[in-house]
Order: sequence, then C-alpha cells, then structure tokens
Amino acid sequence: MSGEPSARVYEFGAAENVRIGQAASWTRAAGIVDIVFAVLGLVGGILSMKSSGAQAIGMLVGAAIYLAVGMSLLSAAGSFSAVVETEGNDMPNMLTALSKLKTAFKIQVILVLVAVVLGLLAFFLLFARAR
Amino acid sequence: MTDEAMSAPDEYEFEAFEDAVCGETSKWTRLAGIIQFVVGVVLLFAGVFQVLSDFWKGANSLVTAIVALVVGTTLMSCATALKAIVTTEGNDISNLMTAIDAIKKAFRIQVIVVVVSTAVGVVVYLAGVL
Repeated sequence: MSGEPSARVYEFGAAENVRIGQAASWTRAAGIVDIVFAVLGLVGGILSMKSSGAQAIGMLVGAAIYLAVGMSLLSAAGSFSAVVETEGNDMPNMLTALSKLKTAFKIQVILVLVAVVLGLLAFFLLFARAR
Repeated sequence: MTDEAMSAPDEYEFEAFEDAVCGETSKWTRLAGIIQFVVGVVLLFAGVFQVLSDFWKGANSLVTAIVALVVGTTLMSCATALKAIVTTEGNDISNLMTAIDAIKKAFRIQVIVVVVSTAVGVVVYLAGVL
C-alpha cells in the first residue's frame, strides 16, 4: 500500500449502479428535508425575533445546522449520482460521497454533544440558582 | 462500464488512502448511530411512562423511539461494513455495497417518517380547524 492516489480504475456494474442510484435518491431526499427544515427554522427565527430573542437565536442556529447537514447530504447525493452516470471516475466519486456523508454525520454528532453539554450546564446553573 | 469490471466486481482492493476515507466515515457514522440509539432508548422509557398519563403523547414518543432505534442500528451496521473494508481483504466492494444499502435504508426510513408525520400533522390540524 503506497498511500498515494491509485491509478487503477474500477467501474461499478449495472446491479451495483442500481443500488448506488437508490442510495443517491434517498440521500438527496434526506438533504432536501433538512434544507426545508432550515428554511422553516430561518423563517420562524426571523418571525420570533421581536417576541423572544433566545428562541429566535435557537431557531436560527438550528436552521444553520440543518442547512449545513442538508448541503453535505445533497453534495454526497451528487457524488453518488456521478458514480452511476459517469465512467472512469467511479471510485473517486464514491470516496467523495463517503467524505460528504462523514461531514454530515460529523456536524450532527459534534452539535448534539455541544447541545448536551450546554443543556447540562444550563440545568446546573438553574439548579444552583434555585438553591 | 467494461465487461471485465462486471465479471470481477469483488477483486478491487482498497488502498491506504481509500481505507482512510472509509475508516473516518465509519467512525462518524457509528457515533451518529450510537446517538440515535441512545435517543431511542431514552424516548422508549419516556414513552412507556407517558402512555400511562397521556396515551397519544406516549404513543408519539414510542413511535419516535422505534424509528430512532431502527435508524441507529442501521447506521451502526453501515459503520461496521465500512470498517470491514479497512480491516479485511478480498471483500471490499461487497462490504462497500452493504454500507451503501444501509445508508439508503437509514435515509429512506427518516424521509418516509418525516413525510408521514407531516401529513398526519396537517390532517390533525385541519381536523381541529374544521
């Protein structure tokens, strides 16, 4: 194993292309759902700015997260589709798709962990204030 | 697509830089799966207690819990297949396709649940308005 990009070319077969194409479709659908949530969060955040600043910030942050994950998923779906539709670059396209999926999951995991930490912090602050 | 590629789909062995991408993706996919699974377990317990006091709220939690558990398990199986690309030899393409199928399944469940729950929400809202 050299660690350098390979010059070997691998073309996925017809049956594999069908499965990859389906994965592309559902990944794209999940990305679109996330982007719709982002738009709804953006609108909700803007509308609630006057009534509740904290709620608006929460919604806008949520919208930004959904947007980032949605864009990564759409990008991954594009690379999956490229595996099916093009020839000569199947493996680089597949690796790009996997990298984009990694980015989407990474964003989700890191932000869930940050939210949990902030939630625990808020809980303990409220608990300390109550005492 | 060449005939050669079709006749020997499993002979491609991933190299070091390709293994690195699969390994990294496996790690984050597993973490995302574990989080979904933990959320599912928490919602399952919450739903069991809620269903005694407020049936519909509890049922909602239980359905969400089951979806989270299935998606979490699917993502973890995807991560395992991606990891197998790195740790084993001779079945890289087969393992990759298993991972792709798992990804498809996880996103399909999520999208269908969002669409169905949105439709149910709209129906319930309209029923309340009318």
